[in-house]
Order: sequence, then C-alpha cells, then structure tokens
Amino acid sequence: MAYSNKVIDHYEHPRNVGSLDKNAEDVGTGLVGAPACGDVMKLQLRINDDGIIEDAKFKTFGCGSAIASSSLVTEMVKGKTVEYALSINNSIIAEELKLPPVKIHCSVLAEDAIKAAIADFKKKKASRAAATAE
Amino acid sequence: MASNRSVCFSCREPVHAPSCVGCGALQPPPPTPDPFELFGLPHRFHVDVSDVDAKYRAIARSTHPDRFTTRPAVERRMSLQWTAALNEAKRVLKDDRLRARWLATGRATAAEDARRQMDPAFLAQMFEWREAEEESPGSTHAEAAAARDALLAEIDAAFTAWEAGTGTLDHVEDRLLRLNYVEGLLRPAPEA
Repeated sequence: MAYSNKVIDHYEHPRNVGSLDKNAEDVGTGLVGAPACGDVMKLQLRINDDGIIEDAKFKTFGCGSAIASSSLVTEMVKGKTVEYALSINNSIIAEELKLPPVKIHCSVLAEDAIKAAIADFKKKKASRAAATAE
Repeated sequence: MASNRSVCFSCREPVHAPSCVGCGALQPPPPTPDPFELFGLPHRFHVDVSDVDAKYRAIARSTHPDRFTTRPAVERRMSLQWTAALNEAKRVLKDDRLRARWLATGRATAAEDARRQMDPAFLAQMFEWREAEEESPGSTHAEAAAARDALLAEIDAAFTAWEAGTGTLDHVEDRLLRLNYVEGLLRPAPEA
C-alpha cells in the first residue's frame, strides 16, 4: 500500500515517543485498542492548572498509520488547551496524513486516545477535589 | 432456501425453488443476509463442514452460470447473483470465527464501535505484553498461546450451552475481539 510522505515521516521519525508517570496528579493516560487489527495505543498528557497541555507522549503497537496518527496528535496538542485537544477529530488527522479509507480506523484510534487521556485527567482531578473537600 | 419469494418474475407462478417449476426461469437469490437460511441449515455453531459443501453443491447445481449460457440475459444475471450469494454464505459458514460472530451478532464483521466496550484491564494486559515482546521477542508467546486456547475453549463452550438451550452468546463477540489482540502477539511483527 502506498503511504503518504507524511505518514512515512512520522513512522520513521515518530515525535514524542515515551511515557509520563501515570500516577502523577497532572498526567492523564489514555489506553485504547483497535479490535480489528489488535493494535494498542497509549497516549499521555501532562496538563497544567491553566488547562494547557505541557507535554504529550505516546507509545503505539501497530501499523505505520496508527503510529503516524498518534505521533501527529501529540504534536498537535502540545502547548494547546484541553478544549482544543477535545476538538480534534479523526477526519482532521486522516486528512492531514492522507490516510486511505482502510486506514481511517487508525485516526479514530488516535482521537479516542486523546479523549481517553483527557477523561482520565479529569477523573483524577475530580477525585482529588473530592478528597480535599472532605 | 428460496422460500420467501412468492411468484416467478417471468410467468407469475408461485415458486419455492431457485428455478420456477412452471416455466423453468431462474429466480433471484432470496434477499436474506442469513447464510444458514440460504443453505437450509439450522442455526448452529457446530456444523459439519462437509454438510456445508454438500448444500453448496446442491444449490449450485441448479444455479451455476454454466447452465444459463443460452438463457435470457436476466437469468444469466440472476445466476451470477446466486453464485455471489452462495460464495459469501459458504465463506461465513466454513470459517469458525465468521460463523461464531454471525450467530452472536447477526454480522460477519466486527461492529465499528466495539473497541469502546473493551475491558481496560484486558487492554492494559495486552499493552504490557506488547512491551515485553519489544524487549524480548517471543517472551509472551507461551502465555499468549494459553490465553488464545482459553478464549477458543470459552467460545466453544458458550455455543455448546447455547445449542443445548442453556446459555447465551452475550460474551462471544467480546471474546472474538480479545482473540484478535492475543493472536496479534503471536504473529511476527507487521511490516510498516
């Protein structure tokens, strides 16, 4: 299959590979999978008190498109607000990477991962707030 | 098989077979997406594959395009439709995974949003195994193979109970999806 240059670039030089401390208070972790192909993707965000995403890391076990999609979204959200990150949908990713139709699910996975990471962060924040209120 | 049509498209006689008894015109395949129904087989996971082949041959004998080379274009087209419908049904009926999913969900392919229901603990386990594989390839193969065998046994047991009228197929699709993840670990790393 012919991958776009952008996919190849992100696949060969993935940005922000790695992990953040999943137990840290300011880190949200999203772990998602694609059942059709068995790919798994972990995406983590460090979010400051102003709701700015200070750092983003990912690790993806999957095909080139899945790796490129997660690499691209970490670049997109770094330094941006949580609101902006939540506004990213898979078609933005798919368009940017020129993914063929059979690889669209890879971009869906990256969107899911971002949303899961933010949900995890918000859950942590809420339980922390509940703990201080007690 | 072919029972849910009423009259022949050509002579308007009632029909109950691929071809009209009145005028011999080949009818279109029934619109059912149910491969079991098309083949006249009961809804069971435990099927005899030779049974599937026998049914396939029986229907193909009267619908195969070779029989219609001198017939009107409409019948030649219907013959091709039969071939496509029979091949798709045979593909589902002869493949354990596809047959299992079809019986459990009414579809041969996984639902688009199935990933959202996956147990987070299971995904975490898969991620952990993938990391271990990266460190030392093959290190999780024994565990993954055991997990695969357990899933296959669980699916088989669910169908055995369901066929005996004592169980449901509620977990079958989830277990089929888990199989994909586990088998991904047992395959050599995919090429980019």
